[in-house]
Amino acid sequence: MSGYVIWLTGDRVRMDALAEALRAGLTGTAPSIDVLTAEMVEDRLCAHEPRNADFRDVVVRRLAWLCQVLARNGGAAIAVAASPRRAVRDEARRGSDRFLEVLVHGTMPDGYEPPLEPALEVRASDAAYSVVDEVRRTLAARGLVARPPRVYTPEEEARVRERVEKLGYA
Amino acid sequence: MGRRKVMVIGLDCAEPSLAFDKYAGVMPNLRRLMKKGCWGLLRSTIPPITVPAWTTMVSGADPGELGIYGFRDRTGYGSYELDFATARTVRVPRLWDVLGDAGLRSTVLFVPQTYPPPAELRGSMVTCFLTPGADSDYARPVELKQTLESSFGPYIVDVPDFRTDDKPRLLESIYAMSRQHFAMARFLLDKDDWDFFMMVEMGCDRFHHGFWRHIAADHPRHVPGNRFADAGREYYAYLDRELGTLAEFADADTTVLVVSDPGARTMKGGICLNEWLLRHGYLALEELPDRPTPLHRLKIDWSRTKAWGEGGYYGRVFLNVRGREPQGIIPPEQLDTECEALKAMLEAIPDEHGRPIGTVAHRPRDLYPVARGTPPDLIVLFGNLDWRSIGSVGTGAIHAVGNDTGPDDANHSWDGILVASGAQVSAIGRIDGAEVRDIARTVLGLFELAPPETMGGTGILSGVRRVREQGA
Repeated sequence: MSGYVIWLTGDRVRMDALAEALRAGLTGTAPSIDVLTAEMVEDRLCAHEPRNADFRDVVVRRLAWLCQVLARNGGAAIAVAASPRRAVRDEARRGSDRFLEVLVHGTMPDGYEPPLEPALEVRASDAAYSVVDEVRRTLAARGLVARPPRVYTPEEEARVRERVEKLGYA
Repeated sequence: MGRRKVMVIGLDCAEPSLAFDKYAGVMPNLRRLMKKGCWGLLRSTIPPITVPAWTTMVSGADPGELGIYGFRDRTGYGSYELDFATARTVRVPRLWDVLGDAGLRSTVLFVPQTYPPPAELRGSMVTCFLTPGADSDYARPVELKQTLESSFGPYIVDVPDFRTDDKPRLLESIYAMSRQHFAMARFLLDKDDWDFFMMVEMGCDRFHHGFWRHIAADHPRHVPGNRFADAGREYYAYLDRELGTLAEFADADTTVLVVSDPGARTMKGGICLNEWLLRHGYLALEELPDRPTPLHRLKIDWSRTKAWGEGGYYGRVFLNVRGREPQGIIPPEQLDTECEALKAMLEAIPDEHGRPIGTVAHRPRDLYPVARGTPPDLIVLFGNLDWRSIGSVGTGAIHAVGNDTGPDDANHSWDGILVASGAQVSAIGRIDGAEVRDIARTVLGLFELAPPETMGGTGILSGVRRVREQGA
């Protein structure tokens, strides 16, 4: 089983809840699933860095490196960072071929540079289970996790289809 | 005030002219709620159909925002395939999601588009009639399935063998399903620690489709004095008794909403949409069937097809556009022109005697601020819902009596019912202008919770209170 990185960028406010939902919903797709936030990296890996104009980029780069190491070893990492600069995110994406950039629409930080081709776009208001489902399907399409089971087996679909047609709905 | 609770009792397709008027005399429990609170018509979505209307009701998002236009939607422009709109198709939060995030517990029973159930839920759920069968994973928490089966037997997901001429058996099946569902509801109302309770009973819809000609004098095949002439009064009276037993679980701090979506009306007949498209050169088949056959079982010659349609209580038309559809032939720059021309032609289809029927065809962009997913190019309401859309091909006729899948008496109509009663509802009587998409925001308002951004509509009851206060 290969690891993967899910990189949440954009509206930071609801990312924690989304990341937790992803961690729970993707259980079983990797031996470990870690949620890593920019704030964790700030506190534990950047405590002595000068708080200059490049500080945010340093944090994002170190977060990306951590995620890449986890993914390289078969684990899954969910990165939670507004990460407003496109070029720094592009660096992160280039560092791993198992990288899913997920743009979370909503209240964006000042000067936010949206990705030109995000793997997925979700809204901060989307139902968490729906985001989990979409992320899982996107990961599966890239061969990074097993395909989620279809809602209906072929036999079940035939039963429901016949019912719906007889009820006049189709 | 103690712990606020909200109980929503949904009766799919309950018709206002019956519940508020014709059968009002046998519905004392509904009348009691109306007298204590407010009531009125509840305008459905376009299209007025179970899926997506109930999801609009519990999310406040219109069909365009949902990207759900019917029971089965196209999987994308890159394919001609349709797939079921299930719980997984719903991207926006529904009431129980929002309430759960706020720490409140929900009991959700039989609400359309709840199958498959979520992995986790703060409360209980029994999924809807799109559940494959009683053997499916239909309950949350998971152990609830066993609990319910031991008390009520196998879950009756829907009325079996719905299209039948054996009306006595059909009527008994409808009652059997409704009795089980209401019994489950009482059981969970008693057992669960709920803040929000909602159930949707489909029996009323099944009754209308099966028996409308017997109870409606305006139906073309109505026979006065037929043996089922009183079946409607009896079924609505039965629903009212069930309503009364549920209302007993509402304490002084509980607001009760009784809602339906949509209503019901006489179906005058069917327009064979794909037959019409064939006859007018929009649709081409490799081989014409010699008997009525659903379009999906036929081989379409896409190289000569400009449009195809889907049947149902309303019609959907898709254009075959070059660069958009896999084998599209309409130049993209002609999409608007072709669409407008087809719209005008569909709206002009007369009845079998050449009389106008008042069909309305909508382009989704004119109905919704956004149209997500893969919307049809046209949503067609034949005879403004007096006629249904028939998707099958093979009769050679444009007009049909009833349905292509068996006897059917009723079509959906625009308005359902809304009755609200409780400590937070003023006894204001009739209200106007309520819409299905207002219900979610209304419920959150009763809990004083802010709605998510996808939740449109208006808080009906806050509006009612304001009107009353200003008028006082």
